[in-house]
Amino acid sequence: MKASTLRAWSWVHKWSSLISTVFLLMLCVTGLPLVFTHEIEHLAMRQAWAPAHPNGSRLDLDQVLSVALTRKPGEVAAFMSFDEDRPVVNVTSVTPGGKAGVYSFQPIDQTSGDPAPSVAGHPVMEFLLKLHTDMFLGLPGMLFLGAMGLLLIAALVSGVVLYAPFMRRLPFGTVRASKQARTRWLDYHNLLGAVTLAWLLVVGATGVVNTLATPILAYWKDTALKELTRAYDTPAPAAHRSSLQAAVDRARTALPGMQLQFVAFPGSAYSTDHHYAVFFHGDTPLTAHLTTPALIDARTGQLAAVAPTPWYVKTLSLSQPLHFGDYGGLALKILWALLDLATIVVLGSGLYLWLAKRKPAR
Amino acid sequence: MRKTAQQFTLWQVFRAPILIAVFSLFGLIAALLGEGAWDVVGELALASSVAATLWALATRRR
Repeated sequence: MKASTLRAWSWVHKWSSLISTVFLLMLCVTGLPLVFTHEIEHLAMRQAWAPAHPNGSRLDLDQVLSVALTRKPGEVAAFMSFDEDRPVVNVTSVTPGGKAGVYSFQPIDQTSGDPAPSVAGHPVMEFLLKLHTDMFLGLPGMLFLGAMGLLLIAALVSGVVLYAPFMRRLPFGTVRASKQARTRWLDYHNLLGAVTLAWLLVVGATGVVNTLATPILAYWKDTALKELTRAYDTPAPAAHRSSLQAAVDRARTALPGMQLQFVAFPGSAYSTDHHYAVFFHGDTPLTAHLTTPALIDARTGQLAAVAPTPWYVKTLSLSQPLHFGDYGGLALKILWALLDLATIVVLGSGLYLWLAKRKPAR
Repeated sequence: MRKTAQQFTLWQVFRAPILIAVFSLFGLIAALLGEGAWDVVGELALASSVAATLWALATRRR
């Protein structure tokens, strides 16, 4: 390789890393416990609980919704989701026009309407997640971290190019541990960078896609779902909505054999201003991550459309498991944690090598 | 320059990292698309990256 080409790649590697390192370190450090969110919340929040009437009849979804909103005066429903292992319905509600990211989350015993204990959403984990997602800065923070992810990809690509001249005389994995610190850490940097490369590219690229969730969903609503909202010019008023239970039942008949995942209420991020969006997922490993909504007109209760999500929403859906590492067993999460730790060493050693280089040679 | 040390070809430099990358990607996707045994196969394939690190630290540190 020509010396000038090498210098250019070296420049890309240096600056893409220098700008992003502190943020990537933050992402690695917060990401480490987040990999185990489910396990940590299970340990920290588990408590003995039984539904009030285990064998009794269940409230319908309209009753659950009304109970939930009575407890949060002034708020409107955004989402409703369903626990798989207990008869609990979770209602997420927000204050209209309120701050983004502020919401109430109420698990409700479907056999009695009583509040049920939360099994997710531990405050410490929520804090870490918020820091990891947008640093408490909302959409600009998310997009900024997405840009840092792009710099990570640039650093990885340039790192691969620079790997060759450094490794011309060294067998793979050599660590000259008895040499001076700079040589030693260069070798650790190259070894750990080489072994984490593919994983880090995947986690980095899917992380970037995840930061685009808001614009991706907005674009989907503005294009594919736009046609469905033509007939109306004002949002469906909350007081004049058709039955939620009937909407879910109607949606089920439209998508037989699929699993109900959640309902997005009119005006929420995952629906239009006029529809209940009832989301289902499949039951194979792949389709479990891919949702299909049935849109039910919130005024009439009629099925407006079954709207299979376009490729870019599917990409977003698949980027989540590939970023979180939560789609296999505990072993996969442990690998995520080990590779995350290796990434911290790569970032730290890279920073050290830059600092050490800046000091004038003795 | 003193006695010229042996130079590796590009292929020799990159074959181990490429092998690990291919195993890792295969593992990530196998665990996503499959279930049961495929999860284990995928995890083992991804674990090649950790295994290679431990092997290098054990045998190539000098």
